[in-house]
Amino acid sequence: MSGERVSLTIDGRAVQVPPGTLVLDAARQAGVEIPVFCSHDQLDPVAVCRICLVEVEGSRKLVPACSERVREGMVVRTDTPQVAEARKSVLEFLLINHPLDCPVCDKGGECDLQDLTYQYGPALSRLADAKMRKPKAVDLGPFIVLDEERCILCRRCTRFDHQVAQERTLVVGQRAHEALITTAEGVPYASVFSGNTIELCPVGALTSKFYRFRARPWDLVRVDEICHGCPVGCHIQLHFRANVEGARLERVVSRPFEPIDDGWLCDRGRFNYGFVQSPERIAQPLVRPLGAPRGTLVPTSWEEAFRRVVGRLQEVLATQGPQGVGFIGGGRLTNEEAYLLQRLARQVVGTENVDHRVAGEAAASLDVAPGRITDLDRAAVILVVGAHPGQSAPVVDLRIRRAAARQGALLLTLGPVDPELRVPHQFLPAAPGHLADRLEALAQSLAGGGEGVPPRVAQELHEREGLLVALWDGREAAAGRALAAFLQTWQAQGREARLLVVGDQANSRGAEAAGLRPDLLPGYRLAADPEARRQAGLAPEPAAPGLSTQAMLEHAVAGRLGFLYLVGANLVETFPDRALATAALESEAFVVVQDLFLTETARLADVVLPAAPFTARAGHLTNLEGRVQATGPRSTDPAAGLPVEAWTDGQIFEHLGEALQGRPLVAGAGELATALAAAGLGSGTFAGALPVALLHEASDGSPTPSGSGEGLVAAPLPTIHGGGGTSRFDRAYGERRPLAAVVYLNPEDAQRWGVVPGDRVGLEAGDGVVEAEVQVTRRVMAGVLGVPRGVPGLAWNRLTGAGRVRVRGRLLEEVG
Amino acid sequence: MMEKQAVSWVVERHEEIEALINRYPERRSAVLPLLHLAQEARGYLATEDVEAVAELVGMTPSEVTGIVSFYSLLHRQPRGRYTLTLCQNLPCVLAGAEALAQHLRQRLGIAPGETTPDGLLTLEETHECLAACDGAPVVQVNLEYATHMTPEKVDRLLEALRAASQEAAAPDGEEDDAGGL
Repeated sequence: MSGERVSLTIDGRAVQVPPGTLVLDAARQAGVEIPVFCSHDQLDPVAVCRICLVEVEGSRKLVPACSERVREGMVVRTDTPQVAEARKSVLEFLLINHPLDCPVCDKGGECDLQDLTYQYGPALSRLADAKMRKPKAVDLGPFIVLDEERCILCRRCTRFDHQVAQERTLVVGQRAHEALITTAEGVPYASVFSGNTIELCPVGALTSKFYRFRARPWDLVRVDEICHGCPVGCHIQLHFRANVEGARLERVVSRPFEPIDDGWLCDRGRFNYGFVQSPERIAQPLVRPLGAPRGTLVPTSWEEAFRRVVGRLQEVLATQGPQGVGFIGGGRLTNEEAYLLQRLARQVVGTENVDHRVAGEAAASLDVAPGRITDLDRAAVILVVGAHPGQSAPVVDLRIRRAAARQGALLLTLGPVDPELRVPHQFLPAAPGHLADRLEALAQSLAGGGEGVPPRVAQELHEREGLLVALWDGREAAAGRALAAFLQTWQAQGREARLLVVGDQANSRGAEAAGLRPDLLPGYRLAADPEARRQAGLAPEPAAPGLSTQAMLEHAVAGRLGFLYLVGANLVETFPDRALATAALESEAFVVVQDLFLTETARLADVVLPAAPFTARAGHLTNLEGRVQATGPRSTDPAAGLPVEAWTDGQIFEHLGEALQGRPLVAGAGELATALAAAGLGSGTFAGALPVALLHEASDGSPTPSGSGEGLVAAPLPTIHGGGGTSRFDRAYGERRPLAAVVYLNPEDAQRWGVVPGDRVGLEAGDGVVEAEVQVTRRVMAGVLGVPRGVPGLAWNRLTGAGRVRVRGRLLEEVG
Repeated sequence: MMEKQAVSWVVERHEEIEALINRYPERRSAVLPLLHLAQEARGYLATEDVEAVAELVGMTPSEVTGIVSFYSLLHRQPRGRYTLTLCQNLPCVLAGAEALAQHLRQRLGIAPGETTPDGLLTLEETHECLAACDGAPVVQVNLEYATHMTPEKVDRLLEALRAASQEAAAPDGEEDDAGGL
């Protein structure tokens, strides 16, 4: 296979390609352009549009280049009058019923049908009869409007839905000239990947509800970016439209990068951009007036806000020392900003109390069998531990779907709730806090033992040769250790293993590598290592061992931590123990919050500093595989001059550093880049990973089921469309993807607690009652309550912080 | 995620369904026979029938919807007990199909695509050839052809269909009626 080549000529140019290559791709390599509509690199050939017809010597008819494979000695011609006539005829046919409404069509200016008609088509139509009418402005799904008249039935959208997303919701209905793109009755096209069909559409049939009639392509300013929605780090492009008031972000499109995204985006990444220009963004610094209760905030100037922050910080340093100060946040910062934050804490303030883990996760990476996203493409076994890739790393889920559905990979899921994977898989239930037990059994099964492992799974694991890729959500330190041991056992049997850790936030891994952990300096060097400290310009011994997020909150409640600085961290919503987070924020501690929006957490602050959104800053992000990618406007970007009324997080850190120590936090951009490179975060490189020895139970934050068997253990579930500021304060997006306060119960438990699907119930745990609607599903193991995170009105972390949950059935009946 | 109430034909004709599915190496191959079975049971295909067939063969409701809308013999709306489809292609028209169309519309008091108020007859006119030109003009009665039709023969056909529906209506009665003409 490897060296083998087939020789052919295309328009007289000799070209050599691997056997099995499509004539279309061979032509591309020879520099010969063949027009296409239905053909797409990521989709199987279907040859329905016929625009790519070419002449092949020896063939009596023209053949479609998009489905014809090369043969030795083949002679292809695309420049003959016959081919030109065929293209012209195909375009004339396609245009027979096309409305030709280019002047009002979103696609006008970037439309394949428009472009190819200009290039190859007839100038005039010979059609004398009326055009066929079809449904227009069809509400296809939450984000998409379909114009059936513009559709040329290339089937790219339906093929994407079948072959890539494996969902099979979008189909061609009817027949012949009446054919339509449609779904089953009452079924919206609500895939989390729906937006890809807009970009795939070669005409203006599928349009974005947010972008419709907003701009013309030639008026847009384009800025390359990395998606900040999750740790996958898909490549995107931001399209701004400038006007006299500034520039408005009008849409997000893909910027195909095969090692990560293959050109696909999820709907969160594509459509959740409105928050950038939300009127609800904090416009200026806010302070709590002296003596006013928590929750009272009044606008102030930047000077006054900084004066309050610096003044109080110095007071606390004088009374409690550096141990009385803590910094939390970082998963949304760039690598550079995360580095600056820990430098501010360690070098300027002198505290080791820094942590990026705001959602109870233990780690964002692990230095066992480090994997790449593309490893999934050749996986023989995929093991998903605790993670819900479809929700928290959606574009990675597309690779999982492909590996399982099309390449026959064995797909295993392990955890309290079976993730929603659209492909066949085996669910191995494991109660919260006990994932390690199940993983240990799985490791034993590799050696022939393994109690409780289904025999079929054990046998498959025994027989499968080749690569195993594990995905872990970084929760439960014990699970991480057990998974590491399992992977090592697999490797010891002479088989390849790889691990991907799905971090909680877009840059969790970068924050970890940049040293935003109490036990780690930048570059995964131990905070307790005197040599590493000396090199970082720190005292050989820390004043006191650093505190984790949980410990900082506990110290604040106990009055031992008088100054808490939160950056993009909405702890009330994200920390697994809401009661603790709230108590810490309501304590005597002075709380500074740096955020885009007035979140539940920001409302309780003493000082709120408005941060700029990602569109306004430059730096690097580290994705879940450790890839360090440049992000943000660079000096050459036309949109770099966008109006910025807020400071970037990094600018705030630098200002505070200078105010506190009288000289800059770093000497300049050069020093910052050098420091990051030394930490293994050089641009374009891959970051290091967390040593297994540093997985601590204390930072678990996993539910600790207490009491006897009575009650359920809550298992938090990530929610793609849920979350803190970016989705909640993006009204248009939120309206399209409303989130219901729904919890999930196993049928057995539903029966035990006397509830039926659709019941509104009260969930009692610790200090209060949470109301939610019940759905019953076997995806949840018995004894577990699945609770989505990031759903407004559903305080999931009231249920995870306080032992077992009791269900009070039929709330409405009781109340009514 | 709720358990759905089973559609009655799925329960009542369980064995027949299993036999149909087992006839093919792949479950999805049974989609058309199952759709015909469902349509026979209800007279048309309701949304729940589409969903039930999808579940039986491991397809999505969208995929089954695509198939149903492709075939003109599968119906998503309630129909009369008998569907009369009058061919309007060239050979039939040359043999008098246009006059026959007028006659049928007048007799039934309905336009093509409509059903008589008593729910007995649905009238259809097709411009696609029914492939029975040797018997032009042709009227299709459900799945049977009535050939060499004249206004008089149409009247007798209508009488026969009405008479058949009066009787306790054995399911195979309809074929005899049409075939006998």
